[in-house]
Amino acid sequence: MFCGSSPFDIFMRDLWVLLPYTLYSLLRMFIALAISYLFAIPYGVAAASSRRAEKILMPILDILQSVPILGFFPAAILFFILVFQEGWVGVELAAIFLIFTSQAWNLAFAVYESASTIPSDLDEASTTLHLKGLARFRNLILPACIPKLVYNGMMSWAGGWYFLVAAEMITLGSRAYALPGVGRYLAESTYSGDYSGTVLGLIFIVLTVLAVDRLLWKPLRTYAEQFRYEYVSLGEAPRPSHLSLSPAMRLKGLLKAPVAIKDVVHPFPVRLEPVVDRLRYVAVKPGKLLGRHVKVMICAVTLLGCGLAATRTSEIMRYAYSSWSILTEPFWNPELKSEVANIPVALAASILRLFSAYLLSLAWTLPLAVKIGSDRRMFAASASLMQVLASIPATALFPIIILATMSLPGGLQLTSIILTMTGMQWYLLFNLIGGVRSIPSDIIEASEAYRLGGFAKFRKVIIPALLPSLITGSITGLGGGWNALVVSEYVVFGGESIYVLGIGAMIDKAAYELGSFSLLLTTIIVMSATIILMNRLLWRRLYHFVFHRYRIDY
Amino acid sequence: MPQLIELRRVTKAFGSLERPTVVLEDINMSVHEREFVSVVGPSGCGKSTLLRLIIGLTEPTDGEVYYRGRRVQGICEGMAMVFQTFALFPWLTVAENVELGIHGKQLSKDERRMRVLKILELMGLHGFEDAYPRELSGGMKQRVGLARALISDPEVLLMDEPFSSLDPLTATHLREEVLDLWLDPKVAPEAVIMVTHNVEEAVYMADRVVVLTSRPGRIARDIQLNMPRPRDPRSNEIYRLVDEITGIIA
Repeated sequence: MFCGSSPFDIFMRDLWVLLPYTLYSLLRMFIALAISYLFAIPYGVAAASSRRAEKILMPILDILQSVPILGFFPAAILFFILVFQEGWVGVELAAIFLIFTSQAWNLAFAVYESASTIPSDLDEASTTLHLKGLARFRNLILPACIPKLVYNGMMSWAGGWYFLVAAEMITLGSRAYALPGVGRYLAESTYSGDYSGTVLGLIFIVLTVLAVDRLLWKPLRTYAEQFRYEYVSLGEAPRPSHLSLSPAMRLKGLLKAPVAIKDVVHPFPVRLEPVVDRLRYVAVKPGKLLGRHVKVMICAVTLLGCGLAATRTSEIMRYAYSSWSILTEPFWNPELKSEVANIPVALAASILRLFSAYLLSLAWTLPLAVKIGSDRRMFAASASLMQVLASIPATALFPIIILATMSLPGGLQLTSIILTMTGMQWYLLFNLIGGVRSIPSDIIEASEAYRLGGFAKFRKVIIPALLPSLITGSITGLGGGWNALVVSEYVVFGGESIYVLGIGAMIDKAAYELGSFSLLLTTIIVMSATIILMNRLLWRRLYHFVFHRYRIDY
Repeated sequence: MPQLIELRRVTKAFGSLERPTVVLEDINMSVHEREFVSVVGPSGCGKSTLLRLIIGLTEPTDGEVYYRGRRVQGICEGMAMVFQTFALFPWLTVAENVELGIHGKQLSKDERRMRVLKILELMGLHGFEDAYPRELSGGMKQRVGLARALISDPEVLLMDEPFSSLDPLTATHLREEVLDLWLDPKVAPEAVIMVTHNVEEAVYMADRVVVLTSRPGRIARDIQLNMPRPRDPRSNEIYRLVDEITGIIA
């Protein structure tokens, strides 16, 4: 493909392409994550604040979460590209929107869950202290959400990487848009068979994920420890206050305005004081300024958006009209009719595939989670590794996975199951490890004291204690799995499309081959409805049962 | 002494209208200035609910609660509460937790700091301003809880099983300190209402013991104790009262 130059030249040239590409991708991801937080916090808090709001907001979130991420896509692209015409701004916003949809719902659920499970004593104490409105939000609700905001933020971040390729390589009917980014580089290299490019792209992604983990998530994890509740136990001895030297405290000091300067300086040698002072100034000042001007900024952005939309009124109207005519395009087109008739069989095939992938994922994540979760040192060592593994945009590696698995017995069916697993297994693993970590040590000690060994301990202690997180992991994992179905049942490889019978493949076919909006919409609605029904009829009930029966509380 | 708090025919029920669980039934009682009242009863008799009704965390199903002649609606100004589980904010330092007690008051920054330091000094928490609750022992945590309640100079201090989460030795010490505070006219609130299931504690500390029956909670006895302080926890009179009250509850 790059004839006439030595491999080294190619390597060097690609390196210079990859550096800005990686930065572009990173920027895109950060913007999407920031918007996700800005959406999730008010949404989740509002849903937890009153019964009435909950009744409206939670089902909406349920539906939003169930719509396959790639299902949002065609509509979003059409919208953004039309508003901004064909320029890069529209495509860029569409990409950010896609990443946002892969991150925001999970965070909103996390906020809702944290805000609605605040221990009643803290809630009552806040009320008796007359904490209302903003004071209550700042002192009670937001801090209570922080552990989950960090932990689920990490999950969302990894999820965002997974869909990066899809976000940076946008195909819609005959039109294709590609954005500068590491996901696109990875996909283009792999799909054209340039595996050295694949490796180079992977190295960049791994390094980026590691750097972000080190510089952002790791300090945040430590910081979040401050925000965990502690439960009263009799005759508790004071713990050594090594915390006062932890990076978390320093970070907290830097982030928080009202803390006295000595809190921040305390751990540092005296001569560093001016530096820290300056740092704090830099860290606090823009925050204050931002706070003061935030209302003005929101107004300005809204006005700008409205203005921009107004200048494009004619296009938007035309778009609305054309999409309406596409929507009302009759089903009775014979080709479409046969496709629609296929939906039930395709759905059944997809469900079967999904559960095979689920069982296979469970088979390896459960033992591993027990092993990692119960070993403190292993847990600390593996946290970053798993963050990296979960972040690798597996979609870009599909050609390699396909090549490796196609000759195995089961052929394409097995391949698509394995591809589906790439989208669900990490949710299971993370949730299960979290579950193992939160088994109280006295239960483990009791089981050891009664000499429950090996299998008996596994069956009588660990599995029951894990059930709540297994259910949560299953719900989020299957959600990821449904999303993965869309990319794994239909893969364009070597210029031709390979697909198996399934509802995910039908979505792709409707979008890319037939260009039929009505079929796309029908398949997406069928898929979302299936997910919602399964959640309501199966998982939600199981969750309530397990929560009553197996919850560990004191 | 003038009357501070009055409960008139207060009933509290939870659950559905058709099948309510009555927790408290027909409670009539009043609390006066300079009175230390203990409420005792078996577990599940609605003792804690009684406190929550007085401060306004929950509303009576029937009947009224009055504070200085005014009907209680919403959280009462002038009351503060201490919790069995301390209810400290784990993400705030000791000083920040205590400062929440006066967060709504119009005070300058220096004044706030002064008041926080003063109450911490009084509660024996000097030097712990910047510690986090998780770094403290149970006794120290409850001192923070008391400091947070007392910093606003409340007229009525409500304590919900304040010593039940502490080990016996710590509880004994803290009880003495609370009694010292009660006898110090400069800091003492006008009245204290303490809920406990520990009969010895109630008899040792209070001027009056209100005994509740098991669900639904009704007032079984209202005993005025005219024992001078300091009291000897091993005196015959205390033993006799403890036996009498335990007999009513059991």
